[in-house]
Amino acid sequence: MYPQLACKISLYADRIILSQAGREVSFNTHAQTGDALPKLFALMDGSKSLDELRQSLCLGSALDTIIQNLDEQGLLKDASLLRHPTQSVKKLSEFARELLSKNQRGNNPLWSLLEVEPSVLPITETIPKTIAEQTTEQHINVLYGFAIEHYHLFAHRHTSHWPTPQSAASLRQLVSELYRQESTQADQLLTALAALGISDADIKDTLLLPATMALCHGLSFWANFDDCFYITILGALTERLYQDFERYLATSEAFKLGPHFIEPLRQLLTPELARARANLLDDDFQEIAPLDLETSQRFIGQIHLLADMLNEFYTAIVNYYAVAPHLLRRVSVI
Amino acid sequence: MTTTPQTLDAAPLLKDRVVLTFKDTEVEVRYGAQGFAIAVLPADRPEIDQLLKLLQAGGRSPAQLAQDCPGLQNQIPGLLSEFDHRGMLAQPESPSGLPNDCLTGRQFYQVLSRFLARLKRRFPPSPFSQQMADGTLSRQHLIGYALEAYHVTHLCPRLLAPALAKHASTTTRKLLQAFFVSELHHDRLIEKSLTSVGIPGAQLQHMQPLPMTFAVCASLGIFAQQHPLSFKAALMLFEEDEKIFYELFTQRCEALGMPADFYQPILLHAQINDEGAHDQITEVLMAEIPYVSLADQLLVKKNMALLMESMILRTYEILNYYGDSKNLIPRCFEA
Repeated sequence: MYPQLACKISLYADRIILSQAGREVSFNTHAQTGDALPKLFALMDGSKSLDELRQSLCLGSALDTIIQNLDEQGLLKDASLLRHPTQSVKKLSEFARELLSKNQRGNNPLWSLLEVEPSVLPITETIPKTIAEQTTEQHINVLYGFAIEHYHLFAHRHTSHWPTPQSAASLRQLVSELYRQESTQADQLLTALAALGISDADIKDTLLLPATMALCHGLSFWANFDDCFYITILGALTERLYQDFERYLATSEAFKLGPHFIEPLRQLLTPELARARANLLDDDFQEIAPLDLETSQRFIGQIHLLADMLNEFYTAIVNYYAVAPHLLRRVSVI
Repeated sequence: MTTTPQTLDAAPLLKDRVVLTFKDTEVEVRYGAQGFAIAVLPADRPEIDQLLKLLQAGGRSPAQLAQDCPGLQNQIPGLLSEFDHRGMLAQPESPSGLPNDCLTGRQFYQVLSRFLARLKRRFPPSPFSQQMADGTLSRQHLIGYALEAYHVTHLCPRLLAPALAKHASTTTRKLLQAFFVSELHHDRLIEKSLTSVGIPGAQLQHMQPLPMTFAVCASLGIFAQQHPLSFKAALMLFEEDEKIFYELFTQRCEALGMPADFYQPILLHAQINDEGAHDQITEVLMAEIPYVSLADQLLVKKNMALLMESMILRTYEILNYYGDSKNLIPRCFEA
């Protein structure tokens, strides 16, 4: 405890009067405490702990009695919280947004590969498999793989019990609206994959990539067992995923992947979804108490971990699908 | 005896004890006294192999098989008739009236063990063990291994706890409770190891795991909460007995002159698991399960295949991350 006096002080020869909002509390002084009390009150500005006060003044057990009396009268504040820096969830959410954004603009091989203009990779029917054609096939495989892994990611999202009826009301509303807007995404991806001849039964027999599973289970774990962290990163992560999906869609269109594949993907990014995402990002999380130093440090570490996991998710897509002989990793052939 | 036509139409499955012998230009198929050979052109080899594996697994209709092996789509109907004619395809229902594909927990444990053994053979030997054996593994790698092991042991009670809240038979509940208790405080052993190489306990509280360490931990916690069967299966991957690994680990630590206080607590941790027969926990728990549906079998196989892959990738991640002195070690991030 870091005691901080929350009242006015009047010193008299035989007593001390402490006044607070029109209420007065009188303390009789005697020889033992007469000189020490004014000193004690002067030191009780919230900068010293109880132990430090004990060392500064020789009041013995009388100090504990005084503190207890003041506390019971509501004349003390504990300045412990004010002494330690706190972070708001809002600030950490902004930090997550910044870090995920910076991370993705780095050297992820997925985006380096997909940023090649399809026009520089001409395919002509008269020339048998040129290097350019092979490279284009590699790009297309990666684009299809991106859709497959995002199907798994979107199908796994929101498998947590959050928000619960006990969650803060306004946040519950914002997140529920986001989930509602996202609810058909997996179906839309499945429709797009059907254009490639991949059925629901095929998907059930398919292994996702370990990095996709890492992201799915990691998010689920946080949502279920560390919900304050989950809500801190949810808006930032959703924004990052959809901005990347927009970029992916533009590349798929440039590669002319076919209307039956592309149209369901376009429907995935609706204005309502963008609004739900923006509302969550704009929220100031007032219903969540500020975080102490230890928790905010933990959150910062976990945001870095999330950024690493997202980076590995994209890296794994390019590493696997650029060279995979089959789009689907079937369980039944193991 | 031939099968009913709907066996062929639904999802043809090769009977148990059908033997496939893969030769250069043909695959020999034998079932008891019956047998025939399938001639294989080099170009068709991958698809023939895949088709036969799919028939061994079952669950795919002839149309799906044709999609999976497009180069063989004209041959598939003839091949299936041949298998059917020779009585090599399984009946769709078992005499018990249970679906043919429904297994007891004990049977499924055997199936799963074989599945994981097949999967394991697809991966090269652990590079971590190899580098310990050939003497190239560095001190930083060994510390990295301990740092990542700390996360697993530290998180372990939180990962197991949701399983205790699930309804279970009295025997299963007792087994899980005893297992939970036996896994408590193992992180203290690893903390002791790390203190001996200058990493204080306070730092451990702030560090983050590598993504794949976190992924395997999160998976166990999620299975405990959402899919108890996968949780029970996953324990055998976490508790696999690795005597040779720890022999190599000790040798490498000694060769690098690392303090005994570093490797002894890690060995003690392994010994506690060994004495508690933790590697058998899955088998014991599975024996308590009356039936496992096909859907659950598939889901558990998927979950375990991914978990095994993730554990293997985790080894590579440890080698890559802790082998690069430019990386933050331990992983205590700041804003």
